[in-house]
Amino acid sequence: MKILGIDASGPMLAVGLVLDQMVAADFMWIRPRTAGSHLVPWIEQIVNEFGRPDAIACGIGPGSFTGVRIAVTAAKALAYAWNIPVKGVSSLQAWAMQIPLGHRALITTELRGSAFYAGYYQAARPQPTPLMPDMAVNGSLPDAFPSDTALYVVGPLSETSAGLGMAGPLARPLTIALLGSSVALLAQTALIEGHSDTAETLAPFYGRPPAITVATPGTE
Amino acid sequence: MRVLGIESSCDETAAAVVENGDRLLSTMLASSAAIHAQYGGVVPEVAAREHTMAILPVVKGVLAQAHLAMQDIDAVAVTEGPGLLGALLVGVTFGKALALGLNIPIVGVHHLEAHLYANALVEPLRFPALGLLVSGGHTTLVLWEDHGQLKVLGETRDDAAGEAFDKGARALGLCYPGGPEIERLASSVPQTALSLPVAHLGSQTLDFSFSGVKTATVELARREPHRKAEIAKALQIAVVTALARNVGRALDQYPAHDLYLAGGVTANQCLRERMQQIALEKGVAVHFPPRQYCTDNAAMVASLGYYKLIKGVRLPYNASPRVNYPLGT
Repeated sequence: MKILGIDASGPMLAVGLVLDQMVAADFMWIRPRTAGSHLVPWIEQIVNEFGRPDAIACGIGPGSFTGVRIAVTAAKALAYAWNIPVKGVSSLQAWAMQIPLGHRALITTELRGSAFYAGYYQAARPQPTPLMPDMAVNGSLPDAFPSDTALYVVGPLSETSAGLGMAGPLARPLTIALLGSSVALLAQTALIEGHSDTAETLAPFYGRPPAITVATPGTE
Repeated sequence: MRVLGIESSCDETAAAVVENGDRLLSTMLASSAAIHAQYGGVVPEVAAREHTMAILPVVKGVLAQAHLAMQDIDAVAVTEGPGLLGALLVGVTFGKALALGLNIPIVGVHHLEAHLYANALVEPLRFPALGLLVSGGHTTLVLWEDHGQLKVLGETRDDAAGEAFDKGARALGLCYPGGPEIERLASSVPQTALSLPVAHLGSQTLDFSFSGVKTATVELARREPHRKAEIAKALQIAVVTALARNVGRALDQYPAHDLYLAGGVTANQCLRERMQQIALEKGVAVHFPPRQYCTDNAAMVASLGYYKLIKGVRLPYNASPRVNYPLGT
C-alpha cells in the first residue's frame, strides 16, 4: 500500500510517502506558515515521482488552526478526486513516532505567550501510547502530569529553560522532526484494516474554540 | 468548457458549474452568516472553520445537481482574493488540490471582478461599459473595456455603501446584514421628512464617502427613536443619491453604452429604479444581475474563470491567496 502522509500543524511542513511499510520520500521544511504555498507543489512532486497513492494520512492537529485547515482541506480534495481512503491522525502522536524506544516525551506545539498544545506519549511500536489526551494548555500543565519523571520535551517548550522547567526537573530537550512518513505510518494500520475516515468526515482537531466564541467571565 | 467555480472569500462557501462562461448548470451555497449574526459581524476564524467542513459537500452537491461526474469538469476557477485570509485559503487549497487530483487546469479570479460576471449569466457582455460594484465591503466604479481590462474610476474613501446600511441597521435595532432590513423598513413609509447628508468630495471626483451618513444615521436614530422607518428611508435615499450622482458623472465622461451593476446592494429596489432612470436620461442600457447572484456566489467565479482560462491564465500550485488584491491589476 502506498500512503501519502501530510502535516502542517506545527513548526514544520511535512509531506511523505510510505511504500509497503517502507519510507519512500520525506519533504520537510522548518518554516511555518508556508503550507498554503508549498503543500500542493510538494504533493505534485511526489505524485510525479511515485504515482498516485492508494491512501492519504493527514495530521489533524492540534496546532496552528490555519495549518491544520490547509492539510485537512487538501486531503479532502485529493481523497475525493482520487477516490481513495483518507485517515486523520493526531499531529502530536505522529511527532511522537520519532521518540527513542523506552522513553516518554511531552510533545508541544504552537506556543503563544503561555498557551500551547501538548501531548504526552510513551514510545512504543507500532505507535506511541498516549499517556494523556492531547490538550490545549494555558500557563501550566494539568495536575495529573507527573513532574518527577524523566522525560523528553519536544517542540517550542523545549527551547527555553523556563519551558523545560514546566515539565519538571528531569525534563530534557529532544530535537526530532514531525515527518510526513510518520503520519503515514501512524495511519497505516487503520487504513489497511479499513477503519478510515471519509473525505467529508475528515475534520480538524483544533483543541480550542475560536477566541471570540468564548464568553469572558461576567459577560453572560 | 465546463468550469467548476469555488468561492470562499468571506462567510459563504459556494460552488457552481458554468459552461462556456455563460450557461449555468448548477450552483450551491452554504452560509455561516447565521453564526456570525450572533457576533454582529463576520468572525474570520469561525468562517474558516465552517468553510473547511462545507466545501466538499457543496462541490459534490453542484456536480450531483448538474448530473455530472467529476471527470466531466474541464477546469477549476477559484476566488483568489480579496477577502479573509483564512477563508480564502480553504477555497484556494481545495481548488489547487482538486485540480492536481483531477489533472485539470486551475485559474484564480478577483472577487469583485467576478461580481460583474453575474451579468454574463443573463446575456453576452458588451464593451466598453461602466461597472458599479456595491456591497458590504466595497463601493467601486470601473470603466470596463473588455474581458480582463478594468480601470477603477472611483471608490469609497472610507465605508462601503453596504456598510452604511449595516451600521444604520444596527443603530435602528435591526439585524445583520442591514441592507434588506433597511429596505423592508423604508418601504413601510411612503416618504420621509427627514434627510441625511450626501458627502460632497468635489464636483470632479468619482470617489465615494459613506462614513458621514453612517454617523449622521446613528445620531438621528438617537434623537428620533420613534421615526425608525423614516430614518431608514432617508438613509436609503442618501446612499442611492451618492451612487447615482457619480454614475451620472462617469457616464458623461466616458464612452460607455452599457452600465453593469453588481454586488449585494444591487438587490435594493430603490437603487435599481434610480439607475434605470439615469440610464434612460443618459441613453445607455442598464443591466442588473438576477437577485440571487447579486450576493456572493460561485457562478460568477466560474464565468470569469472561463474568460481567463481561454486566454491561457493559470493559477500556479504555489500561489497564496491575495488578501489585498487591487482591482484592475
